Amino acid sequence: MLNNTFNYEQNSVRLSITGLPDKSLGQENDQIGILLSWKLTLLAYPELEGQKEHLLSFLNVIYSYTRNYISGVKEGYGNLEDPVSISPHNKVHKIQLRSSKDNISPLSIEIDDAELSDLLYTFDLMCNDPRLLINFDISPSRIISKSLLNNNTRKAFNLVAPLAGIASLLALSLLLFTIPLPEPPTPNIPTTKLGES
Amino acid sequence: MSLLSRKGLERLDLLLLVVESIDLNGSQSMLYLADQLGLQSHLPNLVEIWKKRCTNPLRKTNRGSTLSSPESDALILLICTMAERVYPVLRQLISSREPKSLSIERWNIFHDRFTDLIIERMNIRRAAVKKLLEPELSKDILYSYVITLSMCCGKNGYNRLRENLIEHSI
Repeated sequence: MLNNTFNYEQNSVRLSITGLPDKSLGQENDQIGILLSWKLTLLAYPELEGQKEHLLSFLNVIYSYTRNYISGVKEGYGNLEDPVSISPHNKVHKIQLRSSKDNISPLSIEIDDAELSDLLYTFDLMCNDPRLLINFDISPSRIISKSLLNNNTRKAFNLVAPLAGIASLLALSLLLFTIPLPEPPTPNIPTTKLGES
Repeated sequence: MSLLSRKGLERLDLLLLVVESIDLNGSQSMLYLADQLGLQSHLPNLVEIWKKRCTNPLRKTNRGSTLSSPESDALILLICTMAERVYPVLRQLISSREPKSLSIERWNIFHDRFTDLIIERMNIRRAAVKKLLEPELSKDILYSYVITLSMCCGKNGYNRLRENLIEHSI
């Protein structure tokens, strides 16, 4: 069997792709056209492995997420049915990997910006390898609209005006409470004693 | 036809400035890499590179001109290649696993160098430049630039950075 294994590394990430050349398409012995398995090692986490579909999902989720993250849009990708999902979590990125087998709980991995960069770089290395003749079917990235780009900053600015209004209203109300109310003028009714006239 | 608007040109030049803050011999590296990448037709010497960078409206010597699409593409490719060269330093700057004191020290050196370059080359009367010189605010902006560079290095990074700059130009 012409099993080929290609490794891609960047600092904390190591990706290993194993597969065969597709001889029916005339591929060379040192190429991979049929992916058999992949293994991903992220520093301090157990080795991840899976099938082609899982790798495709991983690639798409990471590419879409980082594309937005670079533009300052912190938005999660992937849902509960997807094999891979990622979301921003405090100052790290939480990746959830779900097994296709039943009774296996999802694996959570938290990586920082540097590790996310490493992961992205490793995926880039793999996608640009001319020996790897697999169609990864990465969904094309799109230009992020200006409204979404400014969304985060606008949200904060949108609250400024109403908060300032409420604060000034409360301050004014408290100020009015401290001012003593003028006492009502006592009516000056002339009193007459009986029998004076 | 111009690819980038005012904001895009600002960002493009500032990203190069961030690389220069890391690589002390940045201008020579730019020239060398432009030659290696076959960009001589657009970036043949340091004066031409400087002229292209002076399209940044925040520059002291702003030329009031803009970049053609091939010129901006050449500069984007140059940024991505330079980012790849300085990737180990970029990574250190954004890593949370580095010792805290060392990380702070690295950031301070990097920030000081960036501020010096801003004062030297930008029009400090502009509000956007003043923002870059405010210590707290500039660190956030600088961090976002470092993230952009670290995630846009290499071949695929070119497309990501190009789209990012176009977004800022819409």
